[in-house]
Amino acid sequence: MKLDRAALTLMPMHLHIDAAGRVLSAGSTLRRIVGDIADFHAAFEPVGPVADVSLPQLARAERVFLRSRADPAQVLRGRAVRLDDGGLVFNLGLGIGLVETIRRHDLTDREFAPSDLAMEFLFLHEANNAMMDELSQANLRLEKARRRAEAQAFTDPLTGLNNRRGLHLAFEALRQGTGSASAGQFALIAMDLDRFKELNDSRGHAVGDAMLCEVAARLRAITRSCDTVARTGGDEFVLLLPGIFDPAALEQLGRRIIRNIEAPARIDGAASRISASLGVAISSRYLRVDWGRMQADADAALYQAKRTGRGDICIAMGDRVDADGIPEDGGC
Amino acid sequence: MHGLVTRSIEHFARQTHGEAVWTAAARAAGVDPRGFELMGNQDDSAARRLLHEIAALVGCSPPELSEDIGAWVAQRSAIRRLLRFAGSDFAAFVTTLEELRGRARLVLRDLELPAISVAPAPRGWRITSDCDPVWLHALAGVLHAMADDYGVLAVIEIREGSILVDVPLVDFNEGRPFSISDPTVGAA
Repeated sequence: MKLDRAALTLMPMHLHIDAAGRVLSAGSTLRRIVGDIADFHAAFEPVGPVADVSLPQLARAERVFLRSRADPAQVLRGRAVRLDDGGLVFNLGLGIGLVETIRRHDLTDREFAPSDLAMEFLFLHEANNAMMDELSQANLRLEKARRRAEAQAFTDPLTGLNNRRGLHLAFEALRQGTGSASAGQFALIAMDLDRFKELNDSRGHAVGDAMLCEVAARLRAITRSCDTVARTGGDEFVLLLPGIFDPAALEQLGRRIIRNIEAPARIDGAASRISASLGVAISSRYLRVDWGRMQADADAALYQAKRTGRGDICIAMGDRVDADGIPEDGGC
Repeated sequence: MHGLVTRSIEHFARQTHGEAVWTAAARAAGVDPRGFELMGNQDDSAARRLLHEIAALVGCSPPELSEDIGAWVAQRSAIRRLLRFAGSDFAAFVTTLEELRGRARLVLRDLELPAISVAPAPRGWRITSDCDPVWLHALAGVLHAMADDYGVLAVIEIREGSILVDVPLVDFNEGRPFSISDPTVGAA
């Protein structure tokens, strides 16, 4: 085969060597990448599937990979043809290392033959990155919106406490933990405010709402971070207290809550006083822990407490009672 | 219409004319003022109503507005870079505009840009398309922005359904620097 020098001008990544490996000509872009080279063997190490790397063998290979000895990270790929005089002409390309090579040598689009798809590859690479950025931002936005919607769905907008849905979710999480182990037991306290309706009627809804927020703040202050405090209706609240199941301790805690609620609150310039009644259900007193059952029992206990007088607390019996009707835990 | 297009209109309105203009225009056009999501297609007529409402609020015509949007979009750094990949000078950029549709499809298969053809004209080019005039005005805006970017003095006008690009001065100034490998070069 004979060499047509005109054809080489179309190939900015060509390499023409003689039979001894001396470089006769190299394309302008190739020179930018590997520098001015004089000897093929000194400049390149053939790598890849070809075991015999003699020049005649390289000319027979489907594809050759040449690693730069001066810069081993740089591998070029291409194909060679053997000329009549024993010399070789390579047409080389950058392969998958294109983006990296362009960055390292600050190449421009003028350095590639117009038939080369290098620019299209770069365009796609960049477009792909831009789209990924946009998409991950869109994902973040959606995730934030989802969290906000979720928080709203489980929150009482007036007080910021849990609403009924949030309470139910917390109850289910606690129920999973109730086995025989006492550590998983918990108490459910239903609470409603005494004399709240009078306050609402005499001083208006705004004062009533402020009082509800005050009660919420006090409940939050008196409970632990692992407790769940919910507002389930107008002046009705529910507390879930994990790990507390001793009736005497609950009675004491209940009295403390009532004292707290009874402390005068200064709202809209005037001191206001309300009280609260509590009904308690304890998970360890049930054979099967059930949301509807425990809630109904706590409510019934709450009405019992209200009947005996305002500002009182009553604990539901549950299932586990002995022959005399006394709860197995011996409590009140 | 692709979510990218409607979202571009939204972001243009918000960033250039403010949240109040966007909210008022969205309400009047019957579009969710919280904005569009990126992917998926939107109703074409919603985009058209939005353009009219925004134009009315800022006191220009819908064609003028879509030209502004085209110029604004071409100046977003990611888009500007992708546009600059089309050619190393303004002449190469304009003559390869016919490829724009194919390039867009390569990136997003459902992003439908109109087909356009570019023919040489004395001192410039004539760009024609049988697309909606709104697109043509947006493209004129893109051309304005890119002429500045390449540092070319170009007169761009729309006459009888085509864009005339007249370039009296090729090397007007240096334009904005650009490197195909380094996104920080020429970034705003």
